[in-house]
Amino acid sequence: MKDMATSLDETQVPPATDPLVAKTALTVSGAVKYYPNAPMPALNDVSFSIAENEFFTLLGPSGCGKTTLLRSIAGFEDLTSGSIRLDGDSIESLAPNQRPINTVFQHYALFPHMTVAENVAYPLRRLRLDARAIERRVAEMLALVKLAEMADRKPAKLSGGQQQRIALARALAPNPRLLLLDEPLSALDLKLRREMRTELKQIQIKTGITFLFVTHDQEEALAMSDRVAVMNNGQVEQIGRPEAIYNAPANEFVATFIGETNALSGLVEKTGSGAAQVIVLGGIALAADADLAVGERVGVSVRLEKVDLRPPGEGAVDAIVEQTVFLGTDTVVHLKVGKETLQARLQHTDRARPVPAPGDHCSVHIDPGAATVVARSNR
Amino acid sequence: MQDAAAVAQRSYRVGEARSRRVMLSPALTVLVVGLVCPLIIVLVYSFLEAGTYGGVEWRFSLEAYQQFLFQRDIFDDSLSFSTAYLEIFGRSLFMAVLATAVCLAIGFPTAYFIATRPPEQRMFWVFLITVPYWVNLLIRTLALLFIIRDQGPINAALQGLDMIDAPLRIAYTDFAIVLGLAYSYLPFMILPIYAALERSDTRLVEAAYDLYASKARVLVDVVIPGAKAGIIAGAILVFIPSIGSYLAPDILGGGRELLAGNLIAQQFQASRNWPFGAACAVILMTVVMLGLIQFVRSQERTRRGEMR
Amino acid sequence: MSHATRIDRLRSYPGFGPLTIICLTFLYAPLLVVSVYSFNATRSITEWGGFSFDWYVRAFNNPTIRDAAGNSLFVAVCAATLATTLATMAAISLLRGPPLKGQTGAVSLVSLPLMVPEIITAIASLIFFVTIGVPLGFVSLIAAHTVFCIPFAYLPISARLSGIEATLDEAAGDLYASRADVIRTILIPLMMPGIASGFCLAFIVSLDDFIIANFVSGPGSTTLPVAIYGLARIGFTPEINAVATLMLAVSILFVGLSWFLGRKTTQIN
Repeated sequence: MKDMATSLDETQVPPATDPLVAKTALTVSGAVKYYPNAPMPALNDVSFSIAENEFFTLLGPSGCGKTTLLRSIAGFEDLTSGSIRLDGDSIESLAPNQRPINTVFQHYALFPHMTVAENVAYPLRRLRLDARAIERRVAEMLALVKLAEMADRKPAKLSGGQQQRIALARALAPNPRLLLLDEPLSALDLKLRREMRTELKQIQIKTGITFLFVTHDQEEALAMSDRVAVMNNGQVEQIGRPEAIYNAPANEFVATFIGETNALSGLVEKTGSGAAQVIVLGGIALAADADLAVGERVGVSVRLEKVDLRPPGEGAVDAIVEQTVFLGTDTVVHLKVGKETLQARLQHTDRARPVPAPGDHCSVHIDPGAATVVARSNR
Repeated sequence: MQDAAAVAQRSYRVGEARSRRVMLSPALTVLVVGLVCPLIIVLVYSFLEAGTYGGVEWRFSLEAYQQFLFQRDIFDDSLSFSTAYLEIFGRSLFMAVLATAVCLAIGFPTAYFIATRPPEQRMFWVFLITVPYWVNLLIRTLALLFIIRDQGPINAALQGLDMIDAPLRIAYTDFAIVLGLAYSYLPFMILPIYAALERSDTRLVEAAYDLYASKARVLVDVVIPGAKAGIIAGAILVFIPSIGSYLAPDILGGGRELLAGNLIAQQFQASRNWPFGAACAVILMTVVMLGLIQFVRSQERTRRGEMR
Repeated sequence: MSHATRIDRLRSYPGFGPLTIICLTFLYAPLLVVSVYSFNATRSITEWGGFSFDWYVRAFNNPTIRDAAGNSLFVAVCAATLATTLATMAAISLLRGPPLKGQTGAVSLVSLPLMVPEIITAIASLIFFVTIGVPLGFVSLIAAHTVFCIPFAYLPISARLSGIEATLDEAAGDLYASRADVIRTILIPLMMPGIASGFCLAFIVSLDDFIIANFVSGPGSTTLPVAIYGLARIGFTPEINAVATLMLAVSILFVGLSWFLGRKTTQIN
């Protein structure tokens, strides 16, 4: 099913950085990592590749293995088995300081005893560049992150957001083949995080460096990435463009982890001519992919905003409003349909239709194409 | 093939571990050559015969240990059980225990008092407690002798006030030795207790009061059990140097009644019986080791208790 | 009143405050009395003969004391330098990276000098030097003091090093620094307050030691405590008070310095 989602993504909207077309920067294949004394692997057969100039994100809950993977690519951990290739060459025998890969650390890891300029110059000094080249590159990098005037300050005198930018400038200074970003925005407050998101994306486009970004924040992942790999329990659940991940989750985990969704149980009613029809909530017919058998029970994901409320009798099934939750730009309505529950998200822009109140009767309509089958029984 | 890759992959970490070991080796070499070897030589010497003019004869002998328990008759060379040296060790043990008790009696309230100060003041109090430890032990012991001796300021003041006719005999007594030991090692008792109290959860005290405990009950049921690890650590840290102490009995006791430390020192100075001195050192070291093992065990017990 | 002061009152026990004062008096009174008498113009205990530096002048003019003080300083500087260097190298090896084989053994070896009663260390060193044929003098004294000072230097150095985040090492490694570069450009500069603090403590421990010096110093390498002990055997003179007061001042100065450096350490992090 994973394959289905990926192929769907690649056939429908060929991305600018299609890994089949563009040059591959990083390839991870069959990555397995066991920690001593841990029964479960931290990484369980992870494979993917990142194209040159791509903004690639590893998204998953904490403990899903994304940080282990990042640290293995940087060289701080060894894989139990599997391989990591950069531009086609294996890098596993290289020490971290020999890999043309730089990292932006979660808590920045700026050297407290050095000034901002010395921090940015650090990798250049280690690479034995001459003094004038270093000076030029440091100025260029500080200009890129708009902190030229802070060159002589110590990191402790900077705000969190400024420290973040210096960490970025320092990691970009040696012009790495690949930049790893380990939840770099998690320590910032919400407003700053939103600003930095835009700026990170701009810097990535400007420098043309391949970014491998790690986060547990789905909004961040969807907003910045060219492609996202959703990870859980040491495995990759789905790889695809943000829209594909959101609209066509490959399984229940992806569906529930990204965005809010109604997980419904459906019955396959008929199949044929490359499509199947699934009935949910005792009367709503939805379209599904073909290889289902009639009478099969399947799990169906329907996004909250795809649920349409209509006056009683106009929709496919009747419902009773149980509770409404006001959320500013929209309201989430909790509904009871027979014995099942359903949630709908109503946008307030639609002034013609008032928000229903608890106890109101209404009916539910869902577009046949709005659902994704995320789980099926083994029968 | 996978194994070969795994080996290659770790080669730079192997190199790193090697360079760390190389960097560690000078310190370990110095410690092994400068302390472990000498301690082993002490053990070896305790099984040798004493040389006539000091030093040793390289012949195996249990003479030194025999001498510790038995007295050799000058006339017929027969051995008779003698408690003289056992008494010296017994008295050392007794005085060390007494000094530890005195330190605990003064140290616990002090540590508690410091731990209940506002956080920003605590470091200053700790500093006040630490400073005397770093002052030369000889100077401190002499200073204590200076004020408690017959012609010292305490006796001078008491006589000046006509409270006593003859000077109080404080110096050169067993009391002076215990006082000196407590004076020498008191900071060792306070610091670990303070550390334990500071770490302990004040909410437990609040909970105990909430559950109708009296002040005394809170102290006995909550505070002291919470500081147990610190109390044990403090007791060991006072006990070990006390039992092997040399300066306090030498200066404050007037060197008349020997303690273990002085007995050992004497064998390398006036008496010149190295094997016997070495044997005494081995026996003292054994006592200290037993104390340390006890300490490690109790630490482990508390750790397990905390985990539960 | 606020809740905090109320619980503070509940937590305090009557008599603990006064006992603390008694404790501090016990610790400081002898030292204070000796310092005060070192400025007394007369030899008398009961009479205050006026303020005077006479005993200090006499002590400085006493060749035994002067030579011994020089020896003490020389030995302390050498032993503290060696012990600090060894302790710094050991701390970096032991605390950075995954545990080495035999790590626990190495850590306990470093603290071994603290576990052995000083008198045993002293006679063991004596026997050792005599057995291997090293004459008693500066070499034996510096060697014995270096061994004894290692754990004292190691404590503040390792405390400081553990306070330096391991991600800084990783970041430097990620930015093309070799392990030698990491130590030179990141660890040593950041450890400096701890190293200085460790040096101060090792210096004081060497300067203060009497028991080991008493056994392993030779005729020409008598240290100040050994000399003072000898003088005090003959009789308690105000000169001794003066030297004692000076040593007191040096100790307090260095401990204060070490404490101050340690405090700066915690503020940086």
